[in-house]
Amino acid sequence: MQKRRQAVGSGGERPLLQRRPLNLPRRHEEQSEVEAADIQGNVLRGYSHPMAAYIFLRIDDVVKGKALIDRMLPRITTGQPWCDTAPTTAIQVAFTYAGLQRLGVPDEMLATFPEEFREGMAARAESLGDRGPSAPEQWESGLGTGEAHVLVTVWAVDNEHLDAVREELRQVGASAGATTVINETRAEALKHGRDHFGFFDGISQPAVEGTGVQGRPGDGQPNGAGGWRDVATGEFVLGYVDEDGTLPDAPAEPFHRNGTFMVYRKLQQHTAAFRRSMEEQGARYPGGAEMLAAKVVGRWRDGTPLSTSPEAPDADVSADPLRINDFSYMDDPKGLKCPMGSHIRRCHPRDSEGFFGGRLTNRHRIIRRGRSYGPVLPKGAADDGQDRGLVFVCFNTSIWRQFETIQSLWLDDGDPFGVGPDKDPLIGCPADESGKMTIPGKPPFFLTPLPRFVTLRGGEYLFQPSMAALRWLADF
Amino acid sequence: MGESRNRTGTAYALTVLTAILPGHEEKLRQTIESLPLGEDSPLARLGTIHTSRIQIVDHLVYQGAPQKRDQLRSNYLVFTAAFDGADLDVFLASIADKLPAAADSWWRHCVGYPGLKDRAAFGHWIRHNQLHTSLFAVASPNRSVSDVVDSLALREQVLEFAIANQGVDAVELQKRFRTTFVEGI
Repeated sequence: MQKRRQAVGSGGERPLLQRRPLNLPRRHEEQSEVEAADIQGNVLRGYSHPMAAYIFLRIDDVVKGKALIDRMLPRITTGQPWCDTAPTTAIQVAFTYAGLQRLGVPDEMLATFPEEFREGMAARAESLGDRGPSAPEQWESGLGTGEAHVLVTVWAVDNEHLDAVREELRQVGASAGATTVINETRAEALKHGRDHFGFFDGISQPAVEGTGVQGRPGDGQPNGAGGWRDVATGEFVLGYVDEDGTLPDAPAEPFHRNGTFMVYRKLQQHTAAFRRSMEEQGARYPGGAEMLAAKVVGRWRDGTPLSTSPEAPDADVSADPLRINDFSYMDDPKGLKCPMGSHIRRCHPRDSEGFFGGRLTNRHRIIRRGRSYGPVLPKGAADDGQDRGLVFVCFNTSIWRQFETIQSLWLDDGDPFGVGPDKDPLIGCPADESGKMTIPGKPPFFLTPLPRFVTLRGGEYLFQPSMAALRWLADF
Repeated sequence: MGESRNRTGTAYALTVLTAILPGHEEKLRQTIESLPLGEDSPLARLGTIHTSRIQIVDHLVYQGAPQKRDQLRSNYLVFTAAFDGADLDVFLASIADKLPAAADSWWRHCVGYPGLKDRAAFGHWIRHNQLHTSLFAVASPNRSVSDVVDSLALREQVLEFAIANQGVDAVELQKRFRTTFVEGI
C-alpha cells in the first residue's frame, strides 16, 4: 500500500511530519503477527514527530486519577498501523511502581513485578554507575523520590499541537485535583537526525520478529551464516516467545501480555566539553580530532561505521540503509578498526570475541526511543551553560537482564572488553577524575584525561501496560 | 586417575554437590547472601583461590531454545573452587584451619555433613559428594594466584608508564624505560 506522507484535508494545510533521513526510510511493513492494537504505539515503531513532552504526574486523588486514565484511554496511541498518515499527536502512558501502588493495585499482584522495577532506578544507582553529579541526590526534583507515579509522553508534529494536548491534560488533571505535574521535559528532534555531539543517531535498532516490519541488515542478531535474523518478540513485549524459546517471566494478569518495561533517563550532554576535549586531544592523536571522535563513538559523524570504513567516512555507506548498520566485529578482534572500548561496541558488542558469535548478546537488546532536548550549541560557540541532551527511553521485557546488563556490566565495567577500569568514553561515569580510553593501534593511543561528557539529570523505571491492562487500571 | 580430570596446569578445580536438608534452604540462602565478597570473603584468607562460587541449585534450566526446566527431588548446594596446588587434602585442611566457622555456616545445612573436627570424615564426605570438573574457570592455570596479582600490578605500572610517556621519541623512551623498569628493580 502506498503511504502518503502528507494528508491534504478539509482543514487546510496540515503540518508536515519531520522528514525521515533519506538513509533511514520507514521500514517496509508486512502483516503483523503481534496484537498491535493492544500494544502501545511507540514500542514497536518509532515516531517521526519532532516534538515530544515527557510529563511526570503525581496522583493526588486515586478515584479521580483512575477517572483520568479512563478519559484518556481513547486518546492513547496503539500499535495499529496508521491508515492514511501519522496523526498530529500521539500519547503514551506508563507507571512507576509507586504509581501502581498509589492506584491501589493489590499487594499480591504488585509482588509479581520484578525486583529492579519495584526498587526503582535511584536505588540501583551505584551499580548503574550513576555516581557523583549523576547520583540521585543531584537529580531534578520529582524524579527518583517515589513521587513520580505516571509518565505521559506526548508526541506532536509541532509546538502548537503539543501545547494543545498539554493544556487539555492540565485541565483534566489539575482542575479536578486528580494529578500534579512534578517534572516535565520538552524535547525536539535536531536537524538531520544528529545528536548534540553532532553524530547521526538512532541508527541501530533490533529487528523484531512478528512485527511486520522488515529489519535492515545488522539490526537483528548474527544468524551464524554471515547474515542476520530477527530478535524474538518476547525480548521486547510480554506474552510472546523470547530468545530462550519460552515466555518471558511476567507480572500477574492483566499485566502479563502486550505490556513492556520502560527505562527513562534524562541525559544532559556537555557539548562544549566534548568538542574541547576532541580538539585538544585530537591535536596529539595521529589521526586528528575527527578520527578521535569517531573512535570514541565507533562511527563517523555521518553514521558510517568504523568497522566498515576505518579511515574516513564513506557517503556511499552512510547513505545506504542496507549498509549503514551492516557490520560485524568478527574480523576486528583487537579493535584496530573499531576500538573495543568505543561507545557503540560496548552498548551492543554483536559478535565480538568472547560473545560467542552473538550468542551472549541476544538476550541483552533494547528498543531505543529517545529524543534530543535543549538548544543546539552553534559550531565554534563557547559554552553557553544551557541544559541540552537526550531523553533516553528504552523498552525491554526485563530491565535487569537487558538495560541494566548493558549499563552496569558493559558501559560501567571494562572487563568484558579487556579494557580494565575504563568506562564508556561517551556516556560513562569516569572511573576517576582523569578517565581513560585505550585506542588500539601501533602504537596504541591513550585518550586521557577523559572528563565526563554526560550527566544523568534523573530517571525512572516504568511499566507501560497494554491497552487491556490500562482499561483494567481505570476500572478495578 | 580420576583426579587428573580436576587439574589444569598447576591448579585444581573442586566441585562439590551436596543435598540440602529439608527445610534448611531459606537459612542457607540467607547465609550465602550475607557472605562478604572480594577481599573480605572468608575464602580470601586462603590466598590460593583463583575463583570460588557457592550457590543453590533449585531448578535445572537448559539455557537455549526451547528452554526446559527440570524439577529436582532435592535442592543442592554447589561449592566450586579453583585453587593453586595439586593436593585436595592440603586444601581441605586449610579450609578447616583458616575458615572453620564460615565452612560450617554453609555446609551444616547439608545432608550428612560430619563437621570439621574429624578431618578424615570431612575429607571422605567431600570426596563422596565430589563431581569431576569438566569446565575450568581459571584464566591463568599455570600461574599461582600471587603470580597473577603481581602481574596485574606490573600491568598497571606499564600502563602508567605508557600514558606518561605518550609521544616521546624512541631514544628518550628507551632511556626512561630503563630508568623505570631496569634500574628501578
